[in-house]
Amino acid sequence: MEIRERALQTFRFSVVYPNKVVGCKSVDIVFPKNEVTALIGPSGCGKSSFLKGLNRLNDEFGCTYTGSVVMADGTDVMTLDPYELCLLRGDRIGYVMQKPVPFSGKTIQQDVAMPLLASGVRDKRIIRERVQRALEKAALWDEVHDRLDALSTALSGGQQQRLCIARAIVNAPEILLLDEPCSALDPKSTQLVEQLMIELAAEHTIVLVTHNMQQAQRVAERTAFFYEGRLVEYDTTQNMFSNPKENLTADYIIGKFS
Amino acid sequence: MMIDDTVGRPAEYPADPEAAASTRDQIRWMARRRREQLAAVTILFLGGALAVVMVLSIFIFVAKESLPIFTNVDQRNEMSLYHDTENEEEFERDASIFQTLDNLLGQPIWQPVSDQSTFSLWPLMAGTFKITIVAVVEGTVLSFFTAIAIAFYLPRRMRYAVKVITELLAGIPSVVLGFLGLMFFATYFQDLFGYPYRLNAFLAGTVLSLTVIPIMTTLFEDIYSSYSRDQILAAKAVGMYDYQVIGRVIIPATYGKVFAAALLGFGRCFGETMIVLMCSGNAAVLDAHLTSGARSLAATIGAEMAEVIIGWTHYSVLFLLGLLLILFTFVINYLSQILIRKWTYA
Amino acid sequence: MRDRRLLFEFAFRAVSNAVAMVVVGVTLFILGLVFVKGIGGISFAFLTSPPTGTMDGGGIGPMILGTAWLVILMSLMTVPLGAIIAVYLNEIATRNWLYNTVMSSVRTLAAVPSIVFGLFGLAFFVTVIGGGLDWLFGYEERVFQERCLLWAALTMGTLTLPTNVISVSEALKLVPDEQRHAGICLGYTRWEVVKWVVLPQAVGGILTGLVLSVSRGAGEVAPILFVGVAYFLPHFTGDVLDQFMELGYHIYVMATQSPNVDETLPIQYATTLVLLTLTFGFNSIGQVIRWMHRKKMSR
Ligand SMILES: Nc1ncnc2c1ncn2[C@@H]1O[C@H](COP(=O)(O)OP(=O)(O)O)[C@@H](O)[C@H]1O
Ligand SMILES: [Mg+2]
Repeated sequence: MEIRERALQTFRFSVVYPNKVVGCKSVDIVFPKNEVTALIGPSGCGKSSFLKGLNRLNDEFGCTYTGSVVMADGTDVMTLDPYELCLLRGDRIGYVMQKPVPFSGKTIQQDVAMPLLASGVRDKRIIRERVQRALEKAALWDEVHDRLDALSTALSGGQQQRLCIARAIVNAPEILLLDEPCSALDPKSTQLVEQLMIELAAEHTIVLVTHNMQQAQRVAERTAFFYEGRLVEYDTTQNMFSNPKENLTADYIIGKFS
Repeated sequence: MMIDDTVGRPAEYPADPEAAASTRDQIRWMARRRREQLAAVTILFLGGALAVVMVLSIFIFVAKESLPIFTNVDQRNEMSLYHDTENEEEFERDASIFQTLDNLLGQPIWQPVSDQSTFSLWPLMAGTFKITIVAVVEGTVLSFFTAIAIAFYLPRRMRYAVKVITELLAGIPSVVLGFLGLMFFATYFQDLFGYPYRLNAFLAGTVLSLTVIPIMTTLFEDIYSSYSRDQILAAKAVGMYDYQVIGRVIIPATYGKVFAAALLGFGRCFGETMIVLMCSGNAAVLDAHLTSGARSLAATIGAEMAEVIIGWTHYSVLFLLGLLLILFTFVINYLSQILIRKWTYA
Repeated sequence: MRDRRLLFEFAFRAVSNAVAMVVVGVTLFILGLVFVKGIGGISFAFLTSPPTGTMDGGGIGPMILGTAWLVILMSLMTVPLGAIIAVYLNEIATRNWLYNTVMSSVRTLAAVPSIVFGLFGLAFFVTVIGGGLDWLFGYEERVFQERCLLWAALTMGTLTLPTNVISVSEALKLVPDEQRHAGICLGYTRWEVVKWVVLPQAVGGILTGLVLSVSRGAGEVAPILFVGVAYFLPHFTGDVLDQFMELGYHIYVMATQSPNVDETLPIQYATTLVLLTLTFGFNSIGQVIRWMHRKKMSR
């Protein structure tokens, strides 16, 4: 499996929770630029822990890390001080959670513009422009352009999730991390979001956690299989599902366990 | 402070001056965010520290003002019981701490304003105890049955109304309750029970119990409502009546929490001032009759502090009473915390 | 056998319900009594004019003004400080010994009898702070080291601090953690999460704290008995370094120290009605805000 350009790479990356539970253990992986990479594996295998380690959201749970996570320009995420980390999260890595999280009490316009508060963009015109561009990219503009002043919590679940994606890309990050973004959505919205991810891959490197193997096949060019905190196999999606190298992967793919 | 609208960030350090300016802006903006974060966290931390400082300084300053009766020789002389006013000159000028203690604990009379001031703590403690016991016993009994009625017996629609109205009681200021006790209930109670003094410990305790009923009812109700429904159903399935379920299953399982709640009520009661000041008669008598007048620690401070001269013996003794109240609070809070912990995790 | 158990059951039920009704009855009776006996004395003139003679006539204007000033000054201190402490406890502090110390300090503050706050006000605000200010400005006579409205308000602010901390804490706990994490994922610093995400959602709690502490502050008398309240001072000066009259204290004074208690009884009931309306009204408003906020957050 050859990789042309690297967007993000981990070396022996482990995440340990404060109660000594190991989230993921010694993961070595390379995410290629402007492609969708899916992380699959049974529930509790550490996919989310790994993903939250990449932007160090796991700091919030008191996790400790070993190894390193390196960006394309050589920045090691694990060595950043808190403020550099804020810049990284604000400008270079977007994150979308499992459940849609619109900020309560904010209008759609305000909600999508929230990241711009932190980047210091004050000009109303630029804010409007960038919110519009993000909403267009997130395929939400047509639905909400006439009610930008409605509360973001009033949107439907699928719309909320696309709003969160728009919010994540409003600062044009290189990398977009999505943690089971469709698990709380209906099939129609799921299809929309999947289409969206494929389109966004033109400009962003996407890491997608999913427990749905069909979704990985539909969306991702590459797939990584996690089991009990370890990276078991990493290959192009095609190879992974047609001839897996590890028995464990094969068993998982044919549904022997889940 | 504005950042230019560049989507798709340059990977290398930007060469063109416009982009370089934007990077400088960015650095300045981040510095400002950092300053704001540091300032905010510092202020929030200082706020938290201030809460600790407040509690400590309440203790320290009340203690500091009460200390002179032990440390200041003039105040010790003043406290000395054998102070002979006619022979000031011959009077022993260096009374010891024991003479202060003797005045506080060695005699039974509270008579601060006289030639020979006597500051016995006993009648005040007895008064406080009498009033508080009446209030806690009445409060506990009334709250217990009210909570049982809310949790088990009342029709569903009335439960909420009773709960709300009981909580309304908490919104009535104690001075209003004290006023009604003095002006209204005192006379009717005397007619009803026929005791000799219109204002007395029983009246004060009864009015005082109104202030703990809302708290205790809520606590009890929480305890009973959170008791396992399955256990209750199981008990009913073997043919127990409601009162048997309550008496044989629920009360044995929860009496520790109930006791802790009563203790909290006790903590609320003994420091209450206005009701006691207005309803107890304020007679510093040392007896065990609930129908005689009583003077509590808190009410004594409230009644006498406005008239003392700052820094004199009487002033210091009143602060000593406050110190006692604080210490009681600590002990009772600590005990109820321990009890709650013990009965929650037992 | 069965009959006796039925009888017991019936008796127990009857006693419980009867006691509940007694409690409800007493509450309503007290409210009704004050209303019926007090409403006759209420008039515009009564609410605005100063007391006359030996307080056997006139109105309660200065007391209402004094009480209002007291709670306003008190709120200026206690509401921001309460919010700061609550935010520190819920958003900033890690769960270590420091957190526990601050937490138990707030609990202790809530449990200390109100009269003790009066002692604290006298010994600390009046004597130490006031005396210190006099020394600082080089005043010969006492200017700050006097019992006055300012120190009474600060004393009351200390007393109502836990009310605010608890109200704001409750509101902060209602904000789900996902909202904070979403903020962090946008690159917010911890303070920015508080400022832009959490606090806007906790406004209801801050408001509840404000209203409840106003209710409490207007009703408490014990802490200010000897920290600035005046027995008779018919004109409210508006100077924070002056003594002032206060509704609750006025009730106490008239009921216990007025020369002709029985004649002034209507005035006393009317004053009580005014005080009760104030405290009760604010308390009810606070409960309603709290309830609405909870409902809004649970949607
Ligand atoms: N906040 C936490 N504290 C402690 N352990 C956690 C926490 N979150 C997850 N874990 C543990 O980490 C392991 C990996 O969980 P997770 O990354 O959520 O799995 P996945 O997302 O693949 O379902 C699990 O064993 C889980 O119990
Ligand atoms: Mg997960």
